[in-house]
Amino acid sequence: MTEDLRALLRDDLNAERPPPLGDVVGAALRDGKRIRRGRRRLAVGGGAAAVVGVLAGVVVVGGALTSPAAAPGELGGVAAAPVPDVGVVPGRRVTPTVTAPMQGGAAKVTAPGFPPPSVPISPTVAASPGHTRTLAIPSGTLRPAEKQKEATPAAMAYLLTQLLPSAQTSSYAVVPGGELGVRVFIDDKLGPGNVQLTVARGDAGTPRPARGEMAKVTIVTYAVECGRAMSVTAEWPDGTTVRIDVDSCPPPGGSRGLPALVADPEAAARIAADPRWGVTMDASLVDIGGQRYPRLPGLAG
Amino acid sequence: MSADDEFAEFATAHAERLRTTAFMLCRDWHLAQDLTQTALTKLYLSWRKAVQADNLLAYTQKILLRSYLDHRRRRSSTESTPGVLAEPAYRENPELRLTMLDALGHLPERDRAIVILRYFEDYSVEQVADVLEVPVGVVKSQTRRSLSKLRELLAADQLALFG
Repeated sequence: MTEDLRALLRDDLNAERPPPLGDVVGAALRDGKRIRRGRRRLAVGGGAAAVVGVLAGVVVVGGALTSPAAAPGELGGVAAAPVPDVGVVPGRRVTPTVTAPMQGGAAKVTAPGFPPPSVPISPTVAASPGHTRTLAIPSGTLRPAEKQKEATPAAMAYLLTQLLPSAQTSSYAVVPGGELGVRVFIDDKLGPGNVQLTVARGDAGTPRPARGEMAKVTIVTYAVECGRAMSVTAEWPDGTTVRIDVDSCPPPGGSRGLPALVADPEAAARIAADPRWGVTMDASLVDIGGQRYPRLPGLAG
Repeated sequence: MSADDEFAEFATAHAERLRTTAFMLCRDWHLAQDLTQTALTKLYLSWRKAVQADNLLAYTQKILLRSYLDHRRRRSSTESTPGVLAEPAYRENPELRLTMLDALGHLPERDRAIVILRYFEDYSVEQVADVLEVPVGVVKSQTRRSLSKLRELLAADQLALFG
């Protein structure tokens, strides 16, 4: 019986035309190394936090026990140990250079099934800011190749799904608060998360300069277990700002983590700096988006 | 040979087989590829522990199956299974003949995994129980039930093969 069943399955498999396997081994190696690096960074950060905590405790206790004559920076005559620099400067608040803050608090669902309850969207900026980097990314184009139309959340949802690297997406919704933006639940090979992308155009002076060749991209990652994991903001010379916020709450147990997008901020930066984002977008994107997502639900603010 | 080289050698040798197993589970080559990559990434992260396993391929299959079951659990609240949708059409037209893969698609995820491990990967009942982390008795009873369901679904000439 076993052989018969196996033969039937083999026949069926032989009739299949599988796509080429691709470089799954190389991709697994790259992802694995990236996750390991992230874990090491977290471990170092956690160790530093523990050291800071212990020192703070010593200061409090020591302050109560030592004489008032003790010099600043000394605990009962013993010099305070230096705090290792791990990229997080105590007391310094890190904020994105350009803000397009999300409105309201944790998202309240109005559309059925959205968003998955384990992945809330945080209000504005996460509580524990982490590491900030700024990149300059060339657009490769000076002016749009196509006729432009007013951007819509549906067009944004369509372009976002085209740009997200190998992630399954669902639960598309319009962001609350009247901003031009879209929110998408993603689940890639590493973990789940909510991605919110908003576009705004501020005052760039008169006359308004051309879109320009170079976007200034600011990446802020946050060392949190659940909540805002990363914000990426791309600023263009014409005043256009594209902002991506990624929120994630990996399930407990460690079987899954943050989405791969968080582990690869450069990929997120490239998405934010794609020159097709704007308050106007290519007509084809707007048209296809309208067909794909004719009725995007809204989220209560 | 470094640990990375050892991992790459093992993964290259077994990636195709893992993808085939994943495909039998999910019936989607692209998802199968994603599941394979996920499983290999997890294997890489636990490589030092994994190489101590008696059967490294079985260990990897276990990771793959769990990745698949996790994926299904996350999706189950919003998706209906193709099997449930396909069955009425099949019932109405007896001329339609289901393939074995189609028939497997009618089984619940865990039962499908049991059949694939038992009858395609040739695992023992105990090994299946270990991979799926269920009692041996559950594997036996689910296997009986799954085979009975497959017999119901498959055409008479196919039934003769494992009657």
